[in-house]
Amino acid sequence: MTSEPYLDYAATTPLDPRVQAVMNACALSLEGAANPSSAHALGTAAASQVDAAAESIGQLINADPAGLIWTSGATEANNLAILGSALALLSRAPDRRRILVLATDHSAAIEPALAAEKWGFSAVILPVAPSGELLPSVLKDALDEDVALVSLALVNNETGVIQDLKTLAPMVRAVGARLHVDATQAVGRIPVDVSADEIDFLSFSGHKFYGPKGIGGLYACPSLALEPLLHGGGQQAGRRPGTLPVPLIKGMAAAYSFADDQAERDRQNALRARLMEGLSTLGQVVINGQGMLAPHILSLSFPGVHGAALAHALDGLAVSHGSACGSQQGPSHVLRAMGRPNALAHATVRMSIGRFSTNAEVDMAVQRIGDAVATLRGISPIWRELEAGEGIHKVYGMTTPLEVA
Amino acid sequence: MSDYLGAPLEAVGFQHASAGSLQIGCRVDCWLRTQASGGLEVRFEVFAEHSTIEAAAWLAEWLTGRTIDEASSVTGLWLAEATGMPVERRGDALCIEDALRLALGDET
Repeated sequence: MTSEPYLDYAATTPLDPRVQAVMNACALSLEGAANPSSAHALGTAAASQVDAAAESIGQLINADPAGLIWTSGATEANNLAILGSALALLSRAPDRRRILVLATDHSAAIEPALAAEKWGFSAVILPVAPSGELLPSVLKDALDEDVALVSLALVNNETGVIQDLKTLAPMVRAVGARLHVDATQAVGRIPVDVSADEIDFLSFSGHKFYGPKGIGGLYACPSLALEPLLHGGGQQAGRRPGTLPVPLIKGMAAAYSFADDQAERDRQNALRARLMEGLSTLGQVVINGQGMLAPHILSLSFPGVHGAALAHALDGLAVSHGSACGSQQGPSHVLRAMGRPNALAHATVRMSIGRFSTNAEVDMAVQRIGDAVATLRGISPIWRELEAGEGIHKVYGMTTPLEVA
Repeated sequence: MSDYLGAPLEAVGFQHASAGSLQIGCRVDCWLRTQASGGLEVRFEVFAEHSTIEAAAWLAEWLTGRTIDEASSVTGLWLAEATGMPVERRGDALCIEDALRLALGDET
């Protein structure tokens, strides 16, 4: 067991012991073990537990529980929302053939949009500002009556940037397009309100908020057509067939019932500020993400440091160097979309904190990262030039505005 | 980190040369001077992956006290094999060689 701090909550969260207790009790009971599709009493009891979980989650996201579809996680939920919508619109709305996604969205949203091109759709990748925000003017220019669906992540998984749904959602609504919100990093972390923001589809995943892995969900507005991606078995009204895992569903609902409240968000904001303060003493630290930010994610780039050398020096420390899901795929597409050059994107550390994070863990991380950066900068000709007064923009050959601490 | 890495605290008398670039992900600077004893004093600054850093540190130590002729015989391939650099980092070894040769050229 490692004694290193865990600062990778955006990749996954540890299971909350209270959730584990709920799941254990459920899994060991016949009501939890029974197939909710079975007609006998135990099956009916299992189905009741699923209904109760849907009711609970529906209340928490302020959505009709009848619209909840259980999936294996957010990747499947995103695919179902985007591809299921595309399939449903093939014959119903032949004039709507464009799907808009953010350049900083997770590949689990971008790739399905690109996959829909084989059915005649056109995926449009919307650029973001250097802050990571989707500017309303950019969305406005892209929107038209031919847009089938707009998909955007409410909280970016690498930078924590929160998109301004209050402004953006009505714009999507105005042209009659569907709105899919990937809320994987938002649910359980910040308030999410499907009804208030007029969200048609909302994806989430249990393991991102202290629930079990292998379970997620898609809220799909019940009045909108959605074609299934899986076939065989009539579960969930055919929208997503497959035997429902009652303990996982119940565990995810329990996890959401323990969602972070304002006090916990304040605590995590304080931890985030502590990280920022500790690492900013290094000087010339680039902050990735501005505007509204989630309390649990901090992305910093360290000019003068080689990314691979930094990752090697931090081996064993549970942080991410870009997206955990894409760590083998070169520089982060999120940071590239925000105008960071490859060399700077590589030299980026994403720290994400959570319910079990402590001041001591943050201080240990600051020490580890601070030592590694200072050591690598001490032998770097690039850092020598930066210290001598050559600006980051000149040395890195870039023009994108940066927030530097 | 090796004592042979980083720019010299006092650059007087050192030849300085650079190879590679930030954009290609490998930049090596060589600082080199001939000591009173006739042997070389060599340091490298490195912006590169860790095996390249380790190779540069090893080479700087190996070169210290040696002659210019001995230093001139160093090749990137030899360095890569001597230090067990991964095959995909052999280009970085050439970068170290280039920085060394440029600094030697200035020294001679």
